[in-house]
Amino acid sequence: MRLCIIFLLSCSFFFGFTQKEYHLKDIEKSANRIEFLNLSNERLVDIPFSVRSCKKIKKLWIKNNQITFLPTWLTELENLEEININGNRRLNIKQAFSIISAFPNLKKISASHCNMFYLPVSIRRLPKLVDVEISDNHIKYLPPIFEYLRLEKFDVSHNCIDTLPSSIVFMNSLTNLDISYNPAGENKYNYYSLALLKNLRSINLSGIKSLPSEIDKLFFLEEIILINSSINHFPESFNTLNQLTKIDLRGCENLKISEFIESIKGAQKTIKELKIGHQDLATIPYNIFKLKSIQTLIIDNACFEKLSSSFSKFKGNALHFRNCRFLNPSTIFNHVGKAKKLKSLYINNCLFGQSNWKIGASKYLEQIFINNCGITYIPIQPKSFPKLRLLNLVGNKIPKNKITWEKPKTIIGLTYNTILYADEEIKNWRYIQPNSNVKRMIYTEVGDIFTLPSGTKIEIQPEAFIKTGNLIVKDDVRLEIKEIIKPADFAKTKYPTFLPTNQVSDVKYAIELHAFQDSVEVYIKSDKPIIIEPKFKKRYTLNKYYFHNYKQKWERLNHKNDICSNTQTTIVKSECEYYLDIPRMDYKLKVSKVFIKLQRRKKKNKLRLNFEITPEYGYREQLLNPFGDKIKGYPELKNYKGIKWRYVGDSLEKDLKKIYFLSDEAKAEKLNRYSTLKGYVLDIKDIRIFPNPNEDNYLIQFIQGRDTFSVQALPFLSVYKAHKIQRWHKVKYRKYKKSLLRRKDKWLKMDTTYLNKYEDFEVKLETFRLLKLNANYKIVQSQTEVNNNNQQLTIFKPGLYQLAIPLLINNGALKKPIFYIHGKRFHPQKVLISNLTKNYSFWSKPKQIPKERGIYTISTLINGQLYSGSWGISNKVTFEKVKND
Amino acid sequence: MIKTLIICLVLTTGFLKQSSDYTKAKNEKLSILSLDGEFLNQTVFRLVNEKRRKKGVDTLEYSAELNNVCRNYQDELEFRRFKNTPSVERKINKQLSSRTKKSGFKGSLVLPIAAQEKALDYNKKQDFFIMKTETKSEFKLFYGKRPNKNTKNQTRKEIQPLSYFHFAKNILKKLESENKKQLYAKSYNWGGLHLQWYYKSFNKRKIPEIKMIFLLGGHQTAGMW
Repeated sequence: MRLCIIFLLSCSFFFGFTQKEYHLKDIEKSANRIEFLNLSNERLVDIPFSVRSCKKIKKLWIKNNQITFLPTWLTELENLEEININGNRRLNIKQAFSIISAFPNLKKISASHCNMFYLPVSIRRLPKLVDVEISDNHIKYLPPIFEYLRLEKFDVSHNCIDTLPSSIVFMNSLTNLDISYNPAGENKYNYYSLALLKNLRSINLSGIKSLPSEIDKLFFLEEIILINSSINHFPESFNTLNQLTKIDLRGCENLKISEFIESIKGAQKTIKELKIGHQDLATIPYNIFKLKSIQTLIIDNACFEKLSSSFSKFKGNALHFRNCRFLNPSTIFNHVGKAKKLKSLYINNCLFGQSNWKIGASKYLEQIFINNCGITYIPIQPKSFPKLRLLNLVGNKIPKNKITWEKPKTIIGLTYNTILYADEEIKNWRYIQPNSNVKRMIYTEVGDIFTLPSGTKIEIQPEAFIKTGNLIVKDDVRLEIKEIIKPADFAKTKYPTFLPTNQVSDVKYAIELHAFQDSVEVYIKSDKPIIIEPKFKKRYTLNKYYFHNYKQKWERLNHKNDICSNTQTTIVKSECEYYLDIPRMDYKLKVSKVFIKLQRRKKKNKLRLNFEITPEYGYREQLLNPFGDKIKGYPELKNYKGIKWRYVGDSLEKDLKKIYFLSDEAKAEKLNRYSTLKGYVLDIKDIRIFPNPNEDNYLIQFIQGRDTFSVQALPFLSVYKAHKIQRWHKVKYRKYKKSLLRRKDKWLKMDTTYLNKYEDFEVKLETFRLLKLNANYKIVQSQTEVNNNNQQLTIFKPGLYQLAIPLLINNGALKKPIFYIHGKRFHPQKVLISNLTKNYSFWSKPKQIPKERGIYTISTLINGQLYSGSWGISNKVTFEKVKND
Repeated sequence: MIKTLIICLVLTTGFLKQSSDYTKAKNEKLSILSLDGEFLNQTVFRLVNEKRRKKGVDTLEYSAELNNVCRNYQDELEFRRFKNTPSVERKINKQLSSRTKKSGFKGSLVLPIAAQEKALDYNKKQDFFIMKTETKSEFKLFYGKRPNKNTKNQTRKEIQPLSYFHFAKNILKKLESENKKQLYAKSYNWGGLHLQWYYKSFNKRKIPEIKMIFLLGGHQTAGMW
């Protein structure tokens, strides 16, 4: 009964929370049901009117269309929670955001790749907005609207933002910030603002060139992502980040991971997840055991050669290898099991240079996941893994019929079956040398490099051929090449689709190559082999075989796979074009200049801070000056006019330095030299006063254009009795708080008028944007030419070669198709089965054909003529003549 | 069951310890050579807290930082008598807040209280004399007039030292009479003190005295958070 209830509950949970995805064609049928409508990649110029009838819609995706305006009726969809307008580069941003800002329940906006030059301020009207994604645009400045937003995730990656607006300090709800591939990550002043976002947990600084030492201000961070960064060391202040649990250092080629581990003494005890990996990473850092509380180590895209012996002290319980390559896998996996705390091993999408590796015995491993690695056998001895509970082999081709043991009880992913040929069958096999389809004259003195129609690259070195008597062939040589790719090639040659183990082979590439001089066959010189590089869409590690014509059997070639070199790399560059002609806001409206005068009395060894807040302009002009006006309203500063530092050697020196760097004349000596100091502070956003119980004083915090700093202060009091002093503080602080509330109301009004003006200004920005619609994208994904060196075939003698792995049929069942020819039943002796979906062909007996999913054709040869027919669900195969190409 | 037993055990041991401290404070007499300074400090501090509790004010928390500052001041003012306490307190107050800050004390509201009190159980009106040749007595002070060599009756009554407890009571009584009621003000949350002999009062025809500096600490901005 209880189980039933749990089942029902889980079912309702599953169905209740998964939204079914509907597309354009479904609107008419099920308009009332639609909650998630995906209109992506439909080449729409306008949103179809029928969308109006989808009243329940919560999620609307209109990615990668050519929409120019959002219709006004869209605001009728009041339940909308998520809108995705990514990739609509022609969209009128101002108009679109004015529509979007009318959705009362909107939680998420995605507007990446929209060619935006500005973030419309109308976005502030969305009260429930928590997630904004505006990556890959041309935004340089963010408007001062963050006082009104309560975002939790903010993604501005791939933009040109250099300085984060000071108002970001008000967005206390922010937990995830992505400023990757922006100059902002390198600007130290931004960290002063971010230091106030105490809820910030994760920051993405990918693509950063250097990490400023001000990173220590974000000591509360739990996750830092630094993918593809070119940093080569971390600043010393990084030690203060002692709450870090996750660090992502993938693609940081200049950084030595072992040095990094040594340098983060603060976080050595807290890091739980470390992600590393780049092309040149050959081993796990020797000092990985210094990370005391690590749980997961993820290694991505590395080429592993060895494993240091200290790995046995590794404290984590999970190790992931993703997209890694292993030249000699046994040197690594033999020792992986020695780590006493390692319980789970994950190997995903990896390539192995050898196909005889095994994971060394381990008493501790409980789970092993080997997924999508294309291996054809189980690389463990189950007896040596006493604690193994789960073996997940999904995505490999491992035959079910090879499992003979009981432990582990759960084995996932064994859905394949092997097919074997009988010995007699193989003995009677006769391969027919095909007619070559590529003939090429080679000038032996020069050699040649050329590409076949299939994309295969062939390289012939000079003087590579010899004839009988070991004489070097000096004249022209005729090279005849036949690539066996199509089913017809297999059929006509009676291609031997087996491996030396009698197993049916999955031939990924086969080539027959011969060279002739004056119709006499010549051979290849042993030190100058012919190199063949076939082109594959996917990277494999394939075994290489050579067919002995006179023995009628395959031989395995033990050429090493060079899987580490020449891998595809994507270089992501962040280039910020500077648009000189971009319209600018009238700065008089935005900034006011203020200075703070500091007085120091050397004789009495007392320091006083007198605020003299004088707006540079604003009072002079009769125009509205919101930020200048703000400075007027600081009643608290009257009370704290005679702020005094009671203690010598207080934090004042530091504070003074901070004020000084703002005025760009900061020098420590000056502090000692002058008795009266002046610090200029520009663009003051707010001055806040907090009680500071730890130090028993007040923190006066100046929130300023690009910086925020705090000054510790105590008001000067003449009252003596303790309870009077305390009462004085209480009353004053209560008054301050009241006035602050009043002031906030006033400022809200002022800011609204300012932002309304900014909205008018956006029209200018939008016209500029329309002129620059074809602005180049900044993400440059340069792809180096892919040389599949790992698939290289080195030929030392002419003949038939193949790159293959054993063929395994997924969930296959034996079937017996009914053959027809010219409308009559027909019983062929041997047929060629071709799975066109998975692109393999093999010979089989016609009465027992293993079949899996996919489109099949069956071919046979009758008197040298090829007949072929498709094999579908009806199980009927009607042979028809295949015309010669 | 086991839990309650453990709690009972802890409570009884705590009670026993406290009561043993009291009996020790009441029985043990002050002495020059073997003065347990730490114990004397504790006794005074405990009495202050007891009184605060009776008055319904939060007890003071013992602050090691304030205690250190007190000791330093005692060293500095070793030869100064604490008869005119306001002047002594003024002197201490000059650099007090910076010193407490440096020592690591976080509150910025600090107040010194200085006092000096006789360590012997001496009745004011009676005469007394010093007998340096007397080896048995530690303080060598006796009631009466100094006897001549010829006098036959050599019996003399020694002035007895006070116990730790009684001394502490006396000094606090004296402070109360001087209107030093800050000790029981609720603005202060921490306390630290140091008591030591006034060395100038030894080896003369004087009643030996003990000096005390008591520092009270609190938050200036208390009540705001």
